[in-house]
Amino acid sequence: MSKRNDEDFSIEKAIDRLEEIAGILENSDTTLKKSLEVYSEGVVLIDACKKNLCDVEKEMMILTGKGEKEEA
Amino acid sequence: MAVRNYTVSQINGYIKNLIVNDYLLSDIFIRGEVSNCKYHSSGHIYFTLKDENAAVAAVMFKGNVSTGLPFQLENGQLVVAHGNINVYERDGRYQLYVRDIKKDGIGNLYEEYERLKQKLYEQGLFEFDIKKPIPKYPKNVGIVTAGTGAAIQDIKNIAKRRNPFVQLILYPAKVQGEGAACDIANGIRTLDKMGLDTIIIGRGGGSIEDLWAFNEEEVAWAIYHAKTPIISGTGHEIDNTIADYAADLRAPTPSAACELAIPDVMSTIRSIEDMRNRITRSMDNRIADIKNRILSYERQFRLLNPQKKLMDKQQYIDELYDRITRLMQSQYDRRYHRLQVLSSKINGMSPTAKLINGFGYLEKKGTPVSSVKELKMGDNINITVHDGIINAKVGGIDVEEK
Repeated sequence: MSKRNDEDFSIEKAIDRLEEIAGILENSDTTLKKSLEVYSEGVVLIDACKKNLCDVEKEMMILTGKGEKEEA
Repeated sequence: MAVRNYTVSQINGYIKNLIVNDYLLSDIFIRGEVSNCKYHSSGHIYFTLKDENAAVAAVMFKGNVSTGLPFQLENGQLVVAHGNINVYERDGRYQLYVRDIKKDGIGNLYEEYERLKQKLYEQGLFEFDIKKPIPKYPKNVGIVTAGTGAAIQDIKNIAKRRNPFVQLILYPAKVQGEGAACDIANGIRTLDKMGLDTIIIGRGGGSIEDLWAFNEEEVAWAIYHAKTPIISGTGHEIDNTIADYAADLRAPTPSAACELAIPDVMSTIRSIEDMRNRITRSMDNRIADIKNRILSYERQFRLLNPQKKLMDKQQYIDELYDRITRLMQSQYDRRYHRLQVLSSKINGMSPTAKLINGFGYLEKKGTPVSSVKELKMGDNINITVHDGIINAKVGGIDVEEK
């Protein structure tokens, strides 16, 4: 596996945060400023999630011998 | 037709001949339970093989015991004896001449399986608390199964269909036969070191012997020690292997294990898109709500505008001004008229008007003179008549006596 630049990105955390953001937006007590803030954050997170989920289609790797790899 | 007699030996020989020439009976495996087992001092073993309904005598000669019997034969054991059927002519009975004996695979394996399951259970390998959660959004999934065969093909196809972005890493393992358990355990350890999200272990269905590698202790411990969550899918749905119990999640088949390991990416994306709609809708609602509130405030403010009040007051002031002006005018007109009337009346009564006929009035230093006592000789006085003033000097005073 190649090192990924989004190594630190956790889709689980992102999706939890999106749930939170939806809750904040649906709460009528939230200020407009806060709403705009979390909304922009949410849109960025959604794009990041989709990017994280769908990058490049992978071929199965087969380990041979002592942990070497080859494409199937 | 003459009746022919045979000797016993002839008959037994004939039967022996029949049996010896039978292809099936010359090389046969017979499964049964050992009874009447007798280790003879000669080194031969005599015993009976039986099942619920039948029994057959068996003998294993010394020469075969050393090569074909790796364990102590005891009554009650379930065994598979391999040899040929022949007739012992002396007794007139057929028996099994045993070349080698194995413990009956199934009976023994079940026993072993139950024993190991109990042992590992007591050692806590199957505890629910140690089960690791399966990542919901895996990126890299390891597989320990045979490199060829239906299982890996199914997994590949299902993974591709559900989420082609997941990297599959196969450790092709020997899944049955000698060394299979060791290979599977190695596979688990190797993949575990790679820091993958999930590992699938499994193989297609088969008999308990086929699945046996997944019932071995080494595999169970490899699963237990792995830091990566492991999903096991061995055999068909009715077979539970030790590996199934030890794994973090058990699937009925390798395909099912793959489905549990790799969620459908399209449904994940759909739920993320739903989330986008949800927050966008909330945001739109919020903005629309605020817009409406602003509009309604604007309307309210327009009604409450001080400018409006001011204009209203100005209008009122204008009205008052007009009213006052009108009133003043009429007052003025009325008074002016009256003044005219009075003026002409008063003109008629003016003292100067009365001076016309020789009348005049006296003033001394601007003060009217009303008595002779106010004057003395030589005083300067002014006499005003209707068309001017006469300056005069008192020449004499006569006091009129009353």
